[in-house]
Parts: sequence; C-alpha cells; structure tokens
Amino acid sequence: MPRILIAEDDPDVRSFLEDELTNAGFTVTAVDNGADAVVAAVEQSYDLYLLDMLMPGLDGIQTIRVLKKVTPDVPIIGLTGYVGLGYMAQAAAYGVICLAKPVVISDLIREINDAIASRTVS
Amino acid sequence: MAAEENAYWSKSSGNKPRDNVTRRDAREISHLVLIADDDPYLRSILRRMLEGQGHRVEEAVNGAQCVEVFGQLKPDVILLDVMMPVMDGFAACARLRQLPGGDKVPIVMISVLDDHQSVTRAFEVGATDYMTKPLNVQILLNRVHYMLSAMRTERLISRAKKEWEATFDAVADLIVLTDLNGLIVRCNRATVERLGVKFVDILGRPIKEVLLRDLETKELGITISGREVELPSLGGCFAISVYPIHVQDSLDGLVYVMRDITERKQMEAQILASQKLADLGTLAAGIAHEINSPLQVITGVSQTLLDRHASGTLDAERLQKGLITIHRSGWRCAEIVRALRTYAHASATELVATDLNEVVRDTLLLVENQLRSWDNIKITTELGENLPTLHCDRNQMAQLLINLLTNARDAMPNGGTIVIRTSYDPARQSILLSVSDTGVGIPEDVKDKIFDPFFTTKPPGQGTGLGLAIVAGIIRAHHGEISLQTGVGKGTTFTVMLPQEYSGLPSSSERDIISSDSGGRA
Repeated sequence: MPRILIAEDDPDVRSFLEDELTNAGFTVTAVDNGADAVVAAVEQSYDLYLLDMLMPGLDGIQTIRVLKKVTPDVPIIGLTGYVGLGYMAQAAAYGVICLAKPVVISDLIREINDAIASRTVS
Repeated sequence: MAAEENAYWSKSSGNKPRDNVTRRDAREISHLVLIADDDPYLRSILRRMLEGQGHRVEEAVNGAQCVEVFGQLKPDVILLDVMMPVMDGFAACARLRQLPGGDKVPIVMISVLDDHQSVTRAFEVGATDYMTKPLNVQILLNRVHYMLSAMRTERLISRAKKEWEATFDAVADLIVLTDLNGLIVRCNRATVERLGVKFVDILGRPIKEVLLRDLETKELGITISGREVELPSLGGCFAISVYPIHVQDSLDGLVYVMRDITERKQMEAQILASQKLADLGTLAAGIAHEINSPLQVITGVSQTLLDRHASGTLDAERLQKGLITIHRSGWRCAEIVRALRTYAHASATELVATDLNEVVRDTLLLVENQLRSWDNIKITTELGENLPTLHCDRNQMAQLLINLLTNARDAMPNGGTIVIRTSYDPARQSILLSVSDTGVGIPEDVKDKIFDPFFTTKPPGQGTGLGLAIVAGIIRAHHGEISLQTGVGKGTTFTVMLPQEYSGLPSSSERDIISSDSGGRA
C-alpha cells in the first residue's frame, strides 16, 4: 500500500485530501507545514509527497529543495491555489508537477499513481 | 615741462586719489608695451619710463617688424610711430587691425604730423589715440595707463559676459528675460532650441505669445511663479519661476525660468501606477489562492458525495459531514468576495460611511495568505466597541492599514507581534487607529524623513519609499493626523487620528443609501 505524505496548511483542504486518498487506498500522513513534512520524511519513508505551495515557514518550493536533497528519489506533486506567480515553473525546475486548485480528485489520484509507477519502473 | 608734470601729478594726487589706486593696480599686473619707432633715442626714453611703471617693453624698428612682433607676442598696447622705413605707421596700423586679436589692441600713433589729414587718416586706419611730437612723455604714460586699465576692464567685462552667457546657455531650463511689457529681450539656448527658432525671430515679441500661449490671458508675471503648468504648445509640463530684475532700485524686467518637468511627472505617475499594479497583482494572486482552497473542498467533497450517492454507499453521517464542509467553504468564498468591496470602490477619496473595524477585519482577511507567510509574526487586534461611523474612503483606509502592517513587518526581521487597535476619542471627536510593532524602532535622525516620498531605509529594490508617504497622503485627504511613539529597540506605534466629521461629507441621503447597502449580510 503506497505511503503518501501530505503537507497542507488549510485544515479543510487537508482533511479532504486525507479522506479521499485514504479512501483511494493510500496510507496517508498529513502535516500542516513544510518543516514538519521534512521531519516526517526523514523519520519514515514515503512513496510520494503531496505539497501545498504556500505554507507558513518553509513554503512549497523551499520544502521541495530540502526534500530533493534528503530523499531525491521520492516523487513530489505540488498543489497551488496561486495562478501566475511562477510556482509551477519553479517547481518544474525540480521535476515537480504542480497542479492548480481546485483539482479533480480522480485526476489527482491518477497523477499520484503515474508518479509512483514511473519511479518503480526507473 | 617738468613744472607741467609736477602740476599734473599734484592735481591728480590731490583730487583723484582713486586714480592712484587704479594706477597701482595696473602696475601690479605687468603689461607688455610694444614700441615701434625708428628713433633709438626715443625708444630708449620710452622704455625707461614704461619699465619704471612696471611694464615690460618690446621694440620694433619699423612697421613690418611691429606687425611681426605683434603676431608673436600679442602686446597689450602699441606705441606706433608714423614715419618709419619699410612700412610706415598707417600701413602697419591697418595691417594690425586685420590680424587675429589686432582689432582690440590699443594703438597710440605718434607723429610730427599734426595736420588735419594725417590725424584723420590715423583714426581711419584704426588708431586708438594720436599724439604729436615733440612728445610730452608724461601725458603719453597717463594715456597708456588709462588705455590699459580701460582694456583690462573691458576684458573683465567681456570675460564675465562670456562666462555668464556660457552658463546661461548651458542651463537646460528655458530662461527668458522680458521687459516690463512682457516683451522678450533675451533668452538662452535651451529656449530657442525648444522653440526651434532663431533668437532674432522672438526678440521683442511678447512672451505670452511665444511661450505661454496656453495660459489664461490674465496669468502672467510674478503671479505665475511657482506654478506647474501643462503647456501643450511646448509639448510638456513646466515648473515656472519668475524673478524680478531690479536696475538701480527700480523694477526693470522679469526673468522667467521654465523647468521641463514632463519626465519627472511621467516617472512619478509610472511609479505610482506600478506600485498600484504590484499591489493589484499581489492582491489578485492572493485572492485566487484564498478562493481556490475552499473551492477545492467544495468541488472535491461534492464530487465524492455524488459518486457515493450513485453507487449507493452514501450514509447519512457522511452526507451531513460533507454538506457542513461544503457550506462552510462556500461562506468562506463569500466572505472573501465581500471583503473585496473594500477595494472595489476604486475612485479616489470617495467618502463612505464606514465601520473602521470592518475595514480592519476585511483587510486582514484579504491579506491573510500573505500574513501567513510572514515568519514568526503574530497579529492581534484590539478593536474598540461601538465606534461611531467614520466617513472615509474604504479603499484608502485599507491601503493605509496594509502599508502600516508592511512597515511593521519590515521593522521586525526576527519576528514579533503587531497589535492593531481602534478606539474613539470623544474629546477630539476622532477615531483612533494604531498599529504597534515590537521591532527595531526608528532612530531619531530618521524620524522626520519617514513620511517623505522615496525615503527608505531598505536596500535597493526592497522598498519603494512610498509606503508611509501614501499613508501620509491618505491621512491628509481625510483631514487626520498621524503621530508615532518609537525608540530604538523599543518598537514603534503609529497612531492615526481621523476626525469623525469634517466638511465635505456626503449628503444624508447618500449616507442612507450607503448604510442600507452595507447592511446586506449579517
């Protein structure tokens, strides 16, 4: 059962993602900021990180930078409510796909499965 | 002759002490005198006398040599004998006047000829003065002295004139001198270049027609000094200063100095516009983020409910929980949109009956996402209860608060607490809004400057220096006052005092419309 780490500071969105991904068969851990995500990633191994881009403390991009150093092989998917602030391009520089909120949950699950599958293949 | 000399000098020193002073001055500056005479005896007498006066002397034995020496040494004055071999004095004088610099050098022609024709001819070929032999050397010396001092004065004047004209023409401002009737008597190069004319074309014409035709007829002279006016005929905006010219205590004319401030005006407008755009861009991105999060919940949860309903796996508990989440998120969107009204009143100083507390809450809601990214900064509010209505521009009030918050944040690079307070001061019938930080404080020497436009303590690129200037502008527009308590390391509190009432209120009917409008959702 793939393990997913979610970092999202908005409580409603966080619990929504937690519910949906659990229902979809993933083992989910959720935190509300980037620093906690890094701590969690060091303590335990995950198959994928799902990160909100705007968070207090370490924001999405900073978190990606650290996570790519600590666990370079774990795929990351970004989520952003911002449009036009360059998050997507910045994330893409780290090979991270950034999805725009609101995202359709079935699309998100497909992206997650694709990302995990491509990692397994390579 | 000796008696004559003595008489002259005693008269001179007795009645004209100033001449003596001038004479001494002239002697201090050594001049070069060129003596052209074929009589060696006369040359040596003159040389002795002139050297006694402190001058340097060169000699020439005929006209041709005189011309040659002049070309090499450029003497300050020439004593030129008429009757000389090779080239006589008349020919030499005529020739000298043709040479570069030869038109100005004083030439004293000396001759035994005292007939009318010779004297006339001498002046025709350009002599400055004419003396007959036998020579009264003392008179000659005095004339030479006079010529040298006149020449020196002329050189000073001509030099001063050149300096003044060069300066006048180097100035980029348009400078125009007029007489009392407003007719142009002089202008600098910038003026003719701007107009694309020659000076003679505008000399004597009214400045009103030539440069200021965009102004009202009655506007002219000192009354327009200090004005910034758009002059379409010159293709720009000009700051005009007018100064009187006094000659011997009476007004003689006016100097118009017109500075082209078109570029400055455009730059100011651009900076303001870009500031606004930047704010708008940040705001738009913020709004998108704020709304997209609840939309994520609404669309996502409703999709799940629909899916479960379709597959018959939707139980009552899950349905209720989902609907509550959707409902809450829907209202969150509505709240954000409502807060946008603070910005929707776009026109400047549109006075609206406003609850200042509401402005504070709306503004915080709008910038919430930005505030969240402010590390280690806590914002608390202490909003006074039962604040009377304030007639203000909501948009500007929100901007004021954002600017003060940004300023407070920047004062706390290591984090801290910002407290926003509102209260009513019945004694002054004013509403008070204060923003306190626990930051670095403002040093005494900077305190006076912080409201100046473009003053900033931040590194280049990190502050426009307009934040507090905009605050000051908004407060001015609302007839309010701002004060600050600060100390280095003790934090800063900006307190804005806004009078509850002042002239320029909207009519009561307007107020009713506004208040009934704003009472929409409770």
